[in-house]
Amino acid sequence: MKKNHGKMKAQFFLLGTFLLCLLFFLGLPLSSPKLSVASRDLSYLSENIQKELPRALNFGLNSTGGINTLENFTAFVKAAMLEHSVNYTSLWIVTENRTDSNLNVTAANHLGSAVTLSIRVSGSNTTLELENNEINSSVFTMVPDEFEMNISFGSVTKNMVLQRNKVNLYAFIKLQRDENFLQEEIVA
Amino acid sequence: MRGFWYLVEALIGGIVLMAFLVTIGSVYLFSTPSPDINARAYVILHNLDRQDLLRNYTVALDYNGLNSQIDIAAYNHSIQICDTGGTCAGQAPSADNVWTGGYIISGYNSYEPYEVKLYLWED
Repeated sequence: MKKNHGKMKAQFFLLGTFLLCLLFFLGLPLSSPKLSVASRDLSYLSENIQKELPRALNFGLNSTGGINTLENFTAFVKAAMLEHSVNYTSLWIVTENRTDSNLNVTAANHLGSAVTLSIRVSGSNTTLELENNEINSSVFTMVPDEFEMNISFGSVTKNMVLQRNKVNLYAFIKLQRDENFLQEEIVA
Repeated sequence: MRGFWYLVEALIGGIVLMAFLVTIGSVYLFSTPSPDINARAYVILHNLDRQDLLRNYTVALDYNGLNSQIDIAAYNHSIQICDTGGTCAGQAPSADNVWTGGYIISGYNSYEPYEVKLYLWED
């Protein structure tokens, strides 16, 4: 007796198609997530912070707050960023002119972990071991009016040519939300 | 007759596959992206600062005045001005699907840090 294999194969084909489609649709998410957070806002937030950090330092220098103003503002920014689900970390360095060609360099570490910061000013080296949220200073002597400052910490290295007769700010900032992050450097 | 049923079954199989592809395509491949309203909120606040309109309203805690400077079609908007202690002037909306953008200022003529929050929601 001749068997109808052709017809049976076509029916199995249809059954297989139905089953595959069913499996696929069962694997799809049943609903879209309730909360969606944009990651494109990191660039706007970064631009905002890059503009305001030097301003905050200037306000502090023009008042009795001094560098502490920058420290307070850093804490404010970190808290504000947390409301946007953004982890804000930073390291900033401020140079200030002192008498007799001396230069005071103050560094604050807010990177979330301890860091070894190497600073070289016109050939003189110093290394600061900074715990998280720690501020420390070092004084360099006989610094020319225009000087070269080289800093390195972690994987970051930066060379700058700065003027001794003004307050200089270097800041490394990083904004991160989940796997998205944005890091920038500020020199003012 | 056998060939006729082969044709029908092949046609049904093709329709099932096409329906599958169209469904997947419409949901995952060809769906139009929703407008980035969050980004618009940030752009509005940045533009207000560039026009020197943001800071004086902010340090005066004049959220209504700042809100009146914003004109965006098809969306309602409100402003909150929050200080370092978390105290905010202005109200956050109680609506579904609210987008928000924030802008931090360190001060206007002196150190007075605030965060300005712009809320956008549809009618």
